[in-house]
Amino acid sequence: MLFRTFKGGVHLHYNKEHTNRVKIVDMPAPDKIICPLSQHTGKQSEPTVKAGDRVKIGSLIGKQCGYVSANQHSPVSGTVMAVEPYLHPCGSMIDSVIIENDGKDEVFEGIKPYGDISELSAKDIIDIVSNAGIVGLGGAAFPTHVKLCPPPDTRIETLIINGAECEPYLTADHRIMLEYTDELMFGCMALVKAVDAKVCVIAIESNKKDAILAIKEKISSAKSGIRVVGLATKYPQGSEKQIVSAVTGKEVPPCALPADVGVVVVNVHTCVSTALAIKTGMPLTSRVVTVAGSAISNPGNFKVRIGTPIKHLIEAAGGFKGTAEKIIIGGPMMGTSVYSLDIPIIKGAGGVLALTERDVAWKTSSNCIHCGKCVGVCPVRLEPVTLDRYYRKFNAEMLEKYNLFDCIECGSCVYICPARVELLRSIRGAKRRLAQMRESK
Amino acid sequence: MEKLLKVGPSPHIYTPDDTSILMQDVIIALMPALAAGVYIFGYRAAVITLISVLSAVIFEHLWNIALKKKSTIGDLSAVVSGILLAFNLPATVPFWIPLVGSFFMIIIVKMCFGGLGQNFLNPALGARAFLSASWPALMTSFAKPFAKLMPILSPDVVTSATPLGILKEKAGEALPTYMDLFIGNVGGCIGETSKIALLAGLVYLLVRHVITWHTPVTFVGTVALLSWIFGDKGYFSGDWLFHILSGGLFLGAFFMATDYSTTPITKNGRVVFGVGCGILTVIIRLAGGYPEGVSYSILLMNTAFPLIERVTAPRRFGKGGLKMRDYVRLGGILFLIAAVVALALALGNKFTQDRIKAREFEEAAKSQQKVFDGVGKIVVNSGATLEVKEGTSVTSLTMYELDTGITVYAAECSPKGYKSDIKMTVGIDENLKVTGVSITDASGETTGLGTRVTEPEFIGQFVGKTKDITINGTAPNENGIDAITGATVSSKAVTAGVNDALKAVEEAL
Repeated sequence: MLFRTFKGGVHLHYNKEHTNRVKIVDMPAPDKIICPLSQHTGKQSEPTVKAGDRVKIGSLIGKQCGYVSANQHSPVSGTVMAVEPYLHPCGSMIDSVIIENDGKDEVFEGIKPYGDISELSAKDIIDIVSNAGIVGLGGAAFPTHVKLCPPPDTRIETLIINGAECEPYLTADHRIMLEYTDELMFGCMALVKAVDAKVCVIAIESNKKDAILAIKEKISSAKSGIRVVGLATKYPQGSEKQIVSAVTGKEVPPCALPADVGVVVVNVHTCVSTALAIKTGMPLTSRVVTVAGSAISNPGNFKVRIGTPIKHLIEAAGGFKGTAEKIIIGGPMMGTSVYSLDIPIIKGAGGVLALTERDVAWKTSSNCIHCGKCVGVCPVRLEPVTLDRYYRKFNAEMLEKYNLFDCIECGSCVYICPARVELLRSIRGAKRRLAQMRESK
Repeated sequence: MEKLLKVGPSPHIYTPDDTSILMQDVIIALMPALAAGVYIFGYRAAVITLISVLSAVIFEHLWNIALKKKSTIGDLSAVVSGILLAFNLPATVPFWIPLVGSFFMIIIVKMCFGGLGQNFLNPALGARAFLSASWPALMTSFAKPFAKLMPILSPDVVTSATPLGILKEKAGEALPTYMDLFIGNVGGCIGETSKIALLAGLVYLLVRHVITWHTPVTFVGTVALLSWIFGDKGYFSGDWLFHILSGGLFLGAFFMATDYSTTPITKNGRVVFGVGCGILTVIIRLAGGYPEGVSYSILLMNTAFPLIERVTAPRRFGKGGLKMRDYVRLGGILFLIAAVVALALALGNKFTQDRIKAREFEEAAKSQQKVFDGVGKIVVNSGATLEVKEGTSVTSLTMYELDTGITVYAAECSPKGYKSDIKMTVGIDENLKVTGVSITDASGETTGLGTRVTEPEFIGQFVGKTKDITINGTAPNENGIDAITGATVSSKAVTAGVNDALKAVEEAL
């Protein structure tokens, strides 16, 4: 099989072998759930409950506010303890709905299956996705209904279901593809209908051969018109623009969406959640999370209620082994490191990693040796070292000229830098400062 | 919680290959060539490398101490520079040469500009250029391969021309075979001769992703193409294989033109850099004054790398691949580089040609004066070159006017001596009589025996003799001379040289 790929990128140590054969474990809901009102890209949702209100699984607790925003639903039944700022993976305090679980797991009365796809129109499907609060579960948490409504004059050729999962350690998407294959097919069909795509391609990295085979088998028996494409195992293969380039050979222009080249990209987990929302009517209230890392005793994949504090996940995975130096929500390349175990799992969190000092040891930065490796690996063809230089001198004009805002912050340049120059920190700093300058103008 | 968690910006994992590991890889890649150098030129090559490396490391450390900076020798870049400097030296240089070279390389070229990653010239090549300009004779005295040089150099070391030197000077020596060139059985610097060892190093560097293929491939490819097109009198008939296998091309293309600090970071820039180096190398080799042009071509391109980097910035993602005008632009840059250098060389040649000629005559006249001391003084600017037929030991023939009004001829000969050629000058007057003989180089003769041919008692015998001089047997001969006892070969060689000179003058008249 020939594996497609994009130009640039890095080869990492994937460390997926600890969890990719372990079945997803259903984790019981904890006593207390924290649902931040901002779990997605875009505007924070508006709370629809207040302290003392009773909620059931699937009750609306946060309402979409504006176009790029998403609904929030209660993952448990119980009582709202408070609506107040709480610790969030991003590092600051965000308004959250805190719910005390009564353990009864009562389901909200309004939840009922929507029926077969053939009875639903494209608009119906997009409304279901929007009502269910589904966002991109691959990490960016971009509201999915926005993706499914491309500008009116664009024609969607290809729907790419993103099963690349290029971040090391994470295997949640891999397990989903193996254990929810039927739902995945159903979701593909629904999404094809929603965007009226001509072809649907499930793109999977070559290190998940069993998933490729399993899906191929399903496709050949169902004659669904869905294709599977193998991708080379390389980071950041799962990044939206990179997967579009690998699968279709088209490059998404700067400041444009994949829809502008006729492509919509949806993560496999998002696709399965969409299928479940249509089949059962249940909005997005749980997700699969990989708990792994060399400081975790029994790494594995867990289906958890959104809003579960990460300490419960670590307990479920047998607790710590040795001393954890960094706890990361997400993958080690783009995830955020957190300082408290009370921080809840949010919709975009595909992993909780506990890494030891050996894994994350950072040597002090030294002189840039001008090796050009950062230029070679950059998947969007930037010159990180040049941006770093112009940030240090602060030359706004040159930063723009070298396309600062094209950076997708994948971290490949920092990973590969032999002199340990903090390139991404400079780029983020430059972005912030230029944005401030634009605002003040 | 007994220990606080660490937080920091993503990414949270990093490649284990930091600067010192990359440098370690370069050192490993240089080892086959070092082993070959020591095998071909003897232990002295190892000692020179050791001096070069140690002094480079010590100078860098001293600089850091003097400027109260954190020590940077741990990144191993000084070791790499030290090895590369030694690779660019002949194995015969005195021990102070690598020491002085290291000082210039580390202090002037590298640390004065801010250390690793900041220098704008390749340190080892900068030092080589400095040493070549300051001590040209020492830097071009290449030992014969398999001379087995011991650390203490014996005075009668046998030197050999490099393959490119033979090609340039047409010095009469046979050109080495491709196999000799490939293995390294030729004269040259310590690290440059064995191509197979350098290729092994290249493969290692590519496999370990230390360098990319762009510069080595385009550099060697350009030299092959251009030397095939322009290498010989007609077009498209040059011996490109000889050109890429000789000189320092592989060493330069694999290890110098890929130096991080002084070459472009962009892929297209590396292609431009490699092609530019190739063009300059061929221009210098075929049209310039030096037999070899690799190091100067890299140094020249080094000075242009920031410019190359700027015009070869990668195309913005989402704006399509390379377009026609990009190729035109890249081609334009290369053409401009080549045109500027060719123009400079042509102008330089034009303005200096006559003066160089006149200087050469003057120099030659000065050294040839002593063979005419008995008959008169050479009139300044009276020299004229005469043609010499092939198949003789005479390499050049000059006609002079003397202040006494007679015409004389000076022949430079190099007859085959005991171990190598004897270099000598023969003076002949218009009546085809020898006016004097002077031996300029008899280093290939046996010390104390053969070397006595330089003594006046021996060479004085030739004065006044005419053609077909013989060596006296038991009975003296009218046109004969006495050989030096125990050095018949050397005596015969000198006699043959004088006879050849007489014959050449006779034929030229």
